[in-house]
Amino acid sequence: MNTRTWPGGRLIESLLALAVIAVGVMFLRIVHGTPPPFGDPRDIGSAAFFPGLIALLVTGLGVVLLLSAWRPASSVAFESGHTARALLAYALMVAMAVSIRFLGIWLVTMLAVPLLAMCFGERRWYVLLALAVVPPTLVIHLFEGVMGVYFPRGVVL
Amino acid sequence: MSRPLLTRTFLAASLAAATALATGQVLAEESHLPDEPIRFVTPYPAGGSHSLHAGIITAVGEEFLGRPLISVIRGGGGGAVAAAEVAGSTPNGTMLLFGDPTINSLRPQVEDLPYEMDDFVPVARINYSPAIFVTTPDQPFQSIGELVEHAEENPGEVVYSSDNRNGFTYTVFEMLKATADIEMRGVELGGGGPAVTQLLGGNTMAYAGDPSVVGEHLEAGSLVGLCVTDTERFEAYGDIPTCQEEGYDVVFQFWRGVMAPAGTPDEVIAELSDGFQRLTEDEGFLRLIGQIGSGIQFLGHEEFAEALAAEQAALRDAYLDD
Amino acid sequence: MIDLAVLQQGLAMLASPWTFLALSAGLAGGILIGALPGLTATMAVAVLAPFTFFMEATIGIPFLLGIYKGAIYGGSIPAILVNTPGTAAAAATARDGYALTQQGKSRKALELSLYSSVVADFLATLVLIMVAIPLASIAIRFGSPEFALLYLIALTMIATVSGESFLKGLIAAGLGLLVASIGLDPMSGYQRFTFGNTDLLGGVSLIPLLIGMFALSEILMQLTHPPERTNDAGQAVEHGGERLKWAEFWALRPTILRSTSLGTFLGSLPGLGAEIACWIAYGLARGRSREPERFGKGSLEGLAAAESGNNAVVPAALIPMTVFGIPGDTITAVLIGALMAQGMMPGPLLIQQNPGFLFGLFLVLLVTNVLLLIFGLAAIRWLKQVTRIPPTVLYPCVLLLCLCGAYAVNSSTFDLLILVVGGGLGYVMRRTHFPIAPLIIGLLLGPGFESAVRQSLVFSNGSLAIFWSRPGSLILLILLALVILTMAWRGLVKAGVIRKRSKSHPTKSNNI
Repeated sequence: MNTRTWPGGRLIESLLALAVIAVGVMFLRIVHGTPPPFGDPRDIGSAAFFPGLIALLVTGLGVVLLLSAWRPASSVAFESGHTARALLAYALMVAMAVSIRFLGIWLVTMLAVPLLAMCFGERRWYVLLALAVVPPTLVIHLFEGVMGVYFPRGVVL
Repeated sequence: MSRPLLTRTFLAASLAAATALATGQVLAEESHLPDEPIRFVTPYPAGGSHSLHAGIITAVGEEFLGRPLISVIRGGGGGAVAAAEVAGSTPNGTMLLFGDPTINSLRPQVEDLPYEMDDFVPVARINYSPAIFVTTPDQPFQSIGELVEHAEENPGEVVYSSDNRNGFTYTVFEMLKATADIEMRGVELGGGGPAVTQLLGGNTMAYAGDPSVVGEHLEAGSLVGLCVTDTERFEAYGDIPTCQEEGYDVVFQFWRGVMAPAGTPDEVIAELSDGFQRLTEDEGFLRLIGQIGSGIQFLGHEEFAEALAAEQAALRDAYLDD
Repeated sequence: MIDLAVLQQGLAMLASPWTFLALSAGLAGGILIGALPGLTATMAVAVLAPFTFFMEATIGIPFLLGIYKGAIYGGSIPAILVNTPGTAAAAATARDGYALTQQGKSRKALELSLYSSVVADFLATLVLIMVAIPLASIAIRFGSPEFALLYLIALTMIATVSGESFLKGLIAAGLGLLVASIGLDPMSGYQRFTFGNTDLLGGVSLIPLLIGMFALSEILMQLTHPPERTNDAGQAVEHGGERLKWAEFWALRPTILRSTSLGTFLGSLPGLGAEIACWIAYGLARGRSREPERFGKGSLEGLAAAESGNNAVVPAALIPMTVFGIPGDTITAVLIGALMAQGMMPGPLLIQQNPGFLFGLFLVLLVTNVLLLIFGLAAIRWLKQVTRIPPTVLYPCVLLLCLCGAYAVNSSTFDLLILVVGGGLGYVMRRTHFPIAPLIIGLLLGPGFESAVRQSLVFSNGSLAIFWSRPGSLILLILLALVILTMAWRGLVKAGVIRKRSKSHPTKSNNI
């Protein structure tokens, strides 16, 4: 296994803790806004009590995480890896989810499947071509034919 | 657009048995509908009476509407998510909402929802059912009059199972509380199943629900019917009086009807309305509807529009003017 | 009780070749549907139920039951092979099952999951047949206060069992609960944290988020840390490893029996699903295990506990349905609809009026288990080859299935955004050692927990005493206190605050 670690584990852990605190504070601010949008957060039966309590809990836990990251004894370590490749694939996934409304299911899947294969290092053109055609055809027909799920159609297909 | 393979096989086998004749050319004249399947959107999660009705309608509907019907089950927000989606779809008859009074008459008036009442035009009412007020045999009250008396003597002590805020049960109990001027506490349990469970388990004292939900317990004797929220008695349970007979003016008919987004051309509405009318006259369809303990009270698009407008006005008076 | 005529009618139904065929077709289709992420058992039954309206009851209903059982079992297959639980109930399976696959023991994992499912299902079905009525009359007494406490026990278990760091587990569960509060509040009608977005009115959909956080993040993790394809591991991995030994399985019988009884009881409570049962079973198994540190790293005990816990729920959920006509979960709600369309109202009347049909159904349920075993073993012969597929082909196909599955749940493109956001979040969490499962389970249990608490307070007119003044809730409260105390004790022992005297742990209480 890959045992190399990232430098600055503490920094990353602190950033994570800050992100958790930010989420907690954001929900807290909404719940305690004026006028209280979902009822009195101190009334246990109201719609605001439960989210208020959880948001408080999350914020508190975030602070604990932040403090524990800077304990002298703590040894925070994260494995490093091919993060850039993963980010590239993630960008592909986001593009796929956003563009399906305009491009339609066929075009999106026929592009996304071989492109992800390329991220994994596949370069043989015939494999990529097969991946572009066979799995989308099978899966889309399975979903539409048997389960009656109709996917969005784009401008082209 | 290929018809689902499995669907076709099943329909071929089953329709042959169910309806002995009458497939073929139903639509002789030119159709105004686009040549694509119709998405029939059920606004509640699978398992309720809505999805059951929708399942039957979409399984049998194609030959009467001339287009395949796809059942889309789109729960969430007590129906608001599906309603907002249909309201925003292309108004050409390819996406229809299986609506009801809470989605189409009540909630848009009293809540801040992402759609308006006027975002929909009525196509056809399929049927309606009243609510039946029920209790268990071991409660101190066994008629609606006794329930009201009990609630008057013990204000706030009667706890009843409710469904959702501004839902069907919620509304009829609000109406009862308003006309009888009593105080009772409702617990919103999210649906008919949990509501009946809590009543049977002795955690709540009363409930009001669809005959398909409470009917079997009435027959088995585990629940006692108090009154029916309709202008006449419910046929299958003729010994339960209407609420009006008992002196409480609570009338609420929970209809199930097909709604199209506003802006759908009139000729499309008329064609769909005719199609649903032929569907509701079909023997096989009626047999299936009968088996789920339901009936047909069909209204075409014109009568339905009138009835809907009257209902919306009545609810506006009841909720907003006092 | 059961007279000869009833017995005869039930057996006749079983003897019909059409019943058998329908059951087999349903089962095979169910396994396939369950194995595709996003296509859930509920959806499959809901979509196919209308077609059974036209069939004979003795064909249509077994067909649906076959789909139901097949789909529940099928969900564990992708969880084990590619770390993609199709439902939240399979998330516990994915932990140890996928760890086994990574060690090249996918065949063993698949076989163990099949055997524990079948055993749990079979035993729970026997319970359904024998003691449905007394069990149901206990279950129906459970009101909102008891449910609130059960949810709390499940949440505590999950936060503690699913990761290395208790703190991070709690944070993940808290975030899940926060996400769960998004959407329209059914009790007050407030639109909470929707930011004016219509799609968020219904809340964040569970299945797309689940698929994103598990499967998409798995794809990204595979890109980040590609497994080194060395020759020594190659041979074992490609053949799925060795088969499950009888001794290994036999050693697991206390775990399986415990999880099965737990799953059966929780399943008979109307409204509690397989998700709660499998996590409580998993937590309990870890608590009583001799080697709790192996949980999450390929423990056979953990896998058996999770699988028998969630499969025992299936027949148990039929208990409230057959006794009271009340749906135990969404699938049984759909099944009730299908039975009604056949002119049969499930509930007390069906027992009186059509006992033969009911008895036949029970027999069908038992036979389904035998068929499931056969089908499962046949499927495993092929499935163990999945690990042979090179990642360049496997993961693009997983992506395609995730995309289609996430869309299929609600036919909504917004859910695809939830899918990719979940994928990104899951990736970040995995890189930084945050457990994913507590977040998902928090999202799943949050609404139920919150409404159970608030409903209890309406029942009691605002008094908290309702949580200890009822016999059922008092017992559960004591259980919860025990769970928390045990956890705290262990935490302190681990941290070295309290020194452990001997190796043997003082939990020699009676077995369940």
